[in-house]
Amino acid sequence: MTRCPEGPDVSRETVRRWEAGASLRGQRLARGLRLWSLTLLVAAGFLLTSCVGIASPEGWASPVAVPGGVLAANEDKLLLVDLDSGKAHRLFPPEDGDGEKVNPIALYGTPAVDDDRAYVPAYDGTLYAVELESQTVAWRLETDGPLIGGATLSGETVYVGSSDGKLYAVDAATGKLHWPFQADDEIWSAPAIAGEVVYVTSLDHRVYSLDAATGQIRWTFTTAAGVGSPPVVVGEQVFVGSLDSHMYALDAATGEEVWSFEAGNWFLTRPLVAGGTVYAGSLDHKIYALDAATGEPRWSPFETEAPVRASPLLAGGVLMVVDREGNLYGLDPSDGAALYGPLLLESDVLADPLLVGDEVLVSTTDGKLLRIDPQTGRRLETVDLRETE
Amino acid sequence: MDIIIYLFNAVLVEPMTNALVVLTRVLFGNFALAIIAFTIIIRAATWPLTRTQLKASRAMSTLQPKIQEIQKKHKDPKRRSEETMKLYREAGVNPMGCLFPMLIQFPIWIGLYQSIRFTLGGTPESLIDLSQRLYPWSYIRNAAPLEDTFLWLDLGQPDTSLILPILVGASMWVQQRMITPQATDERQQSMNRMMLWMMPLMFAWFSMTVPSGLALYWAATSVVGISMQYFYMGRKLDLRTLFTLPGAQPARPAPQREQAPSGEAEQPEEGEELVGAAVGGSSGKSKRRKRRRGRRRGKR
Repeated sequence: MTRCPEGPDVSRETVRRWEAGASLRGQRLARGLRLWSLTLLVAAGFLLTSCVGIASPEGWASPVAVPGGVLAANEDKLLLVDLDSGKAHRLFPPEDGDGEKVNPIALYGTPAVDDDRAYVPAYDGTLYAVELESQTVAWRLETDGPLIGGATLSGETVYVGSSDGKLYAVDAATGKLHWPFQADDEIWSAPAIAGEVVYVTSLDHRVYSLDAATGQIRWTFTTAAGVGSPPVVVGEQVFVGSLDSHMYALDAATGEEVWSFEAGNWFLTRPLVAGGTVYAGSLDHKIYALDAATGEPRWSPFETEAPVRASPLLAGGVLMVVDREGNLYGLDPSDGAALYGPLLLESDVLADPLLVGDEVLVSTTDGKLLRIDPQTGRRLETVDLRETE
Repeated sequence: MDIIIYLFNAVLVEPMTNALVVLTRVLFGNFALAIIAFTIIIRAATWPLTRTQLKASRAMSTLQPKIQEIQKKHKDPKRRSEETMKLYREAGVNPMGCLFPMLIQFPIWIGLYQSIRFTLGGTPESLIDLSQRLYPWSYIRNAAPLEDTFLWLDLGQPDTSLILPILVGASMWVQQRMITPQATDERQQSMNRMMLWMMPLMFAWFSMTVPSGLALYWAATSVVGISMQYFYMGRKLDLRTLFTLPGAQPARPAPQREQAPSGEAEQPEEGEELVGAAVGGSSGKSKRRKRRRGRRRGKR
């Protein structure tokens, strides 16, 4: 609406002229606003596609020790790091050659290794057997979904779970499939092997106990939500964290629940069991220490700055914890007291740390492998995994 | 800036994210159905804004014959504008009335986009992000990760079959077409034409690059919008006239016998005006219907 200028000397003609001008201005303004809103819409659209576009998988494969060094992942590449020289060279995928093109997309699952080969689960849904010496692919097993969990080697058999809901048992030498087991939903974790039994979790809410030779079900245990973290077998018990925010201890022989403990958010990490205590980080920004026999907390949960995805690690009497934002803590495992930290690393950390000798290796999401003194948290060396030979 | 982002997340994104998860659980774990149901709820909640927008749009359309008359009558642009503004004032129409409701809905849309992005994820890392946004109620927390497939769609990935992008573009075009008023000048006409084609094409293109769950939301919101407009504006939508290009009839005055009787323009019948105006007043069938109705009224 237009408003008239007020005052005693304003004539009717002045008002009419002012209104005429104002109406013109109003129409121009309306037209301008329409154009502006269209421009805003286009800008919002471009902003939307840049912000909302598909997130690309980055990977959280943990480093693993091999003869002659350490295998460490950086996005879709697996590198062999010589700790003496601090140099890294690419192991997988192979450099362009005559062989079939390999595009692993990202590496989430920690590879299983023996003296000659690394069995690399890739996000492209393929398990690759890679020769450490020649850096060639000996065989590959294609599945119908991304491989997010790690591979586990037991004897001559490699076990790997897929997002197609199957657990595959494969001959390590030839890649020949022994058996597949079909769960009702995706498998995101590495299976655990104890004797003749394979334990595996699935997003179908279950923990499965399978016969390692045949893949037949021995028992199942159902939680209230999907299970994305790997089981850990110690003695007669299976320990597993679930997306129902509970840590469970199950009887390994029967699958019956021994105890459960509820946290404030999901468990998406591999628990560490040592000295009769279960140490586990949760996405509720806390580290828990639970009595392995009863599930009772040993000490008050230790609060971190961010959610914890990486598994805790015991090194030289220090419980080392890294949260998602790369805050490193050293805790006294007996009472949870902070020995040091938070020490901010360079980038986010989602991969489990690895103890090699008397130092701890931490892989960051921006492609660095950090060598850390567990006693002080001091960084000894940084290996840039993006700079390969 | 941080406080704005915090408030935006706390007030819009997180409630929407949790609502989507609850709907998914209620609707048999089907996330696509949850998106469709959520769209209907959001459209219902923003109905007062939509109604204001439609009302303004309809009122503008209703005045088109009179505006054309003014343009024919007055050659002086100032005088013409003055009369046009007077007409708006007398009719109680704000020419900018349809813009504000549209602008105020932007934050809601962006919040919803963010919610779908968080809920769908698409990568294992996104599950950790989602865990930080869900309320600490087991009914919600235990639902994740959600099933992300529906028919041929992987809701976390773009639809490579192009079916959904085409559906998004087509439904958006129809919706846009229904609310595009007949323009009275060339510049307005070309802008309307640009809006009519640019938005559907733009969103169809976006649909090829964003998660198909988002594209499903766009398609659903357009279809719901079309239904709302259809029922609010009236149920006499003529599909043949819908596909007549706007501005096909230039702004110059039409021959006298083609024009709607002025009495009808002053006392429009609900549902008739927008469609009639949107097709540029060129629908013979629409005119015939009006004439027949006029005769019937006359007989009484």
